[in-house]
Amino acid sequence: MNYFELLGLPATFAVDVAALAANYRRLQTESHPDRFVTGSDAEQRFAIERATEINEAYQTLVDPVRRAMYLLWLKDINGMDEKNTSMPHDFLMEQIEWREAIADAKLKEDPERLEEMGIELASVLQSLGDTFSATYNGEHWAIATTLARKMRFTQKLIDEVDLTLGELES
Amino acid sequence: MAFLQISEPGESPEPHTRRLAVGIDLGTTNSLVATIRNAVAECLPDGDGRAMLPSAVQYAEGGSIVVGHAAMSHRGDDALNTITSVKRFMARAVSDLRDESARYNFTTPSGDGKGALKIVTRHGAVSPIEVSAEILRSLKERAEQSLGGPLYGVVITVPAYFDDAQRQATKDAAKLAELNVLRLLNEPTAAAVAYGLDQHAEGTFLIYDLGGGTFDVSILRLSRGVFEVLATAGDTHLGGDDFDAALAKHAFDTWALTRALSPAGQANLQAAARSAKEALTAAETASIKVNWGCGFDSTLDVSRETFVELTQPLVDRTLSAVKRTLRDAKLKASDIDGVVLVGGATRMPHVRAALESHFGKPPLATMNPDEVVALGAAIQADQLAGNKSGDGESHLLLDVIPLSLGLETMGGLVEKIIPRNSTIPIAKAQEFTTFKDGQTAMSLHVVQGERELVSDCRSLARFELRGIPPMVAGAARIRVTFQVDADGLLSVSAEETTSKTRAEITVKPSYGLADGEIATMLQSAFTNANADMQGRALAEARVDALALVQSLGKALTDDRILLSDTEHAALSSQIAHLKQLSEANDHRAIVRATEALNLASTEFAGRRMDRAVSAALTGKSLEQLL
Repeated sequence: MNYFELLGLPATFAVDVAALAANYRRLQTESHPDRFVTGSDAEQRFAIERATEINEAYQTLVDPVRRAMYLLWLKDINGMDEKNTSMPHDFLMEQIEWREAIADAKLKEDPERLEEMGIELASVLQSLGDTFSATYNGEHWAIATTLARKMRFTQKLIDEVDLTLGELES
Repeated sequence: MAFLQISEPGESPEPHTRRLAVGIDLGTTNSLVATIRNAVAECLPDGDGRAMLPSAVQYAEGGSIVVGHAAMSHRGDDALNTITSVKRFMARAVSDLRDESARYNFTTPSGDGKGALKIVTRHGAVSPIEVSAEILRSLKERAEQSLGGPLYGVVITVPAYFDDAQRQATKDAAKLAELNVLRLLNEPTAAAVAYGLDQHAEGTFLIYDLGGGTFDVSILRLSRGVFEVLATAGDTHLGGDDFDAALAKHAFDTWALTRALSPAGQANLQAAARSAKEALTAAETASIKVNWGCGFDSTLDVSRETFVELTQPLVDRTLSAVKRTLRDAKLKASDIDGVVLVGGATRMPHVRAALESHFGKPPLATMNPDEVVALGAAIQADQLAGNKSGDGESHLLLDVIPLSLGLETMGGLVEKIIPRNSTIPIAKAQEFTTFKDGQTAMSLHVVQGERELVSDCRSLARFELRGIPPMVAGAARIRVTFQVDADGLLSVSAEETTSKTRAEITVKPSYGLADGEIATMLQSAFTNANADMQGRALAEARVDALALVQSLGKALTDDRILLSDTEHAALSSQIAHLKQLSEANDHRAIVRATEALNLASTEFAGRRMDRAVSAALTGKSLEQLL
């Protein structure tokens, strides 16, 4: 059973997030170890395994980058494999520019600039996701894989922005 | 039988046979025990009507151990043997201690300052686990007297920010006090349960829990009986005690005392500072008065303004944890529907003012901040024990791991395996290989924390894997699985995947007790009560056997369809056999038959779980779920 089947949703990038969360909660209500504290050892063991799997499934599908990678994996494509695809040169240049901008904002202790970058990157991630969804549905696997990798790079920039904001705060 | 009534397989226990379950808030300065009575959560008071038990243990002359208020009164005159704030020492080394290092005579088993510390008293060196067990034992006695029978199980709360070693130490203390731990529950989560159910709250709440010695902040989403922790942060070394200490230091400096204080003098000064702090909650000024004995005393008037000035840095530290939690939960201050105050230290006006200015609305203080954690633990204990709560509604807690788990890699760096704020239970597998021909063993060092260097994180344990089949270097594929259970505790298993050989694992905890040590401690507690031990073993074996007979009997009736006739007959006859054995007095036979039945029913349990999960999604329409 794959994660989409487990959570009762069609295997597409455009998931209904509200339904995903509702199904997740419903499943955990049935299988969480808290339900089996007075049960047999076997029941307790299964409950931990099940609840662990449901958590993993939910965390994978709720996160856009992990969801994209998982969808590729269902088509036997390892999007994380560094040897698989080389990234376009202009995209890599953009990456360097973003990194420099973050480092610069950190140096100037400019949290407002970082907040702005965070919002901008979130919208970049959103539009990459929309394009990924279309190419994946169109079964253009190579393009979809490159897009998923771009999403991953973008997510890393968002994490970097968050981390830097945290450092500036403390 | 005082434990459980025997009912026919397929019948649930009679409705009036509730299992006695309690929640225990094992606090740094005070501890409480609570239960559900007549569908209402309430704290159980002692004989004098006091709910709070000071977390103080005196190892008195003549070999007796005194706990609570009576111990507290000896803080001054028997300071070295009267242990307070022991929670701060749980799973800690001497080198971890800060200002309190002078309060007691500490020792380490190995003598090198590493490993879990012990405190030297006139009864010998005692571990913080043993001290905590005394507090738990006292609360257990109180509860059993009040409820009129032995406890079925307890939920014990721990700071959300406790690491794995501190959680394990708490569980060990419960084992030593002979308590059946149904679950370790994070304190802010417990408070959210009590608050959420009491107020029928829905939305996103931030729980700000400033206790005597620890600080936690958790953000939860409350929706239709599901309590989902989104993020947690904290400081296990920040609490009301530190506000007292700041005042005490101020007095010490102002009086220009030239000599270091004796442990007794230190205890007196600390107590005087605490009284002044408490008075400043309502009054604009208060005095710190210390009687040093021999007719010598000191007095200092302190204004609230001075107090705020002295302790604002502590409040600021809590606020930076609040900001980090918001960031981890990907939320802004304005997304929070309410800030719930927990812990006695949240009575300080400047703490409330700081939260009000950060969130733009006053924090919620509708429940007693001292009791709310114990009450939430009681509600959870009642549900876990299988007693229907008052309104018949059950709720679900989804909690997280507070600190990332990682492995030591080359060069003393940490590779994160499970990131902080992951929902538990969670498991991650990692593959390793051998680097020498014929290598049959390897060692893994597991650490907890957010930093990149092993030396900046907390060492949890070293795992030795043995029994790897000999192969050429790099050929073995050793899959190591890190599982964090619903108590937030880590376990590790390993398998060589090409040969399917299970590697043997020995754990060397960095701060905890080895399994044998608990047994020795239990043994020494019972050396003069051998007959009692026998009776206990039989009673425990029966409780376990009957619980299995009951739950399995009910399952057989409910899910008859999942078994063939042969399977059904085999399980039924084993159940009857176990039932028969449990009426006799051979506890070993009962334990063996229970284990056998557990094993025999494993496949059945798996089928039931699969069915329950698929039924969960098909049983209800989407509209009902949302």
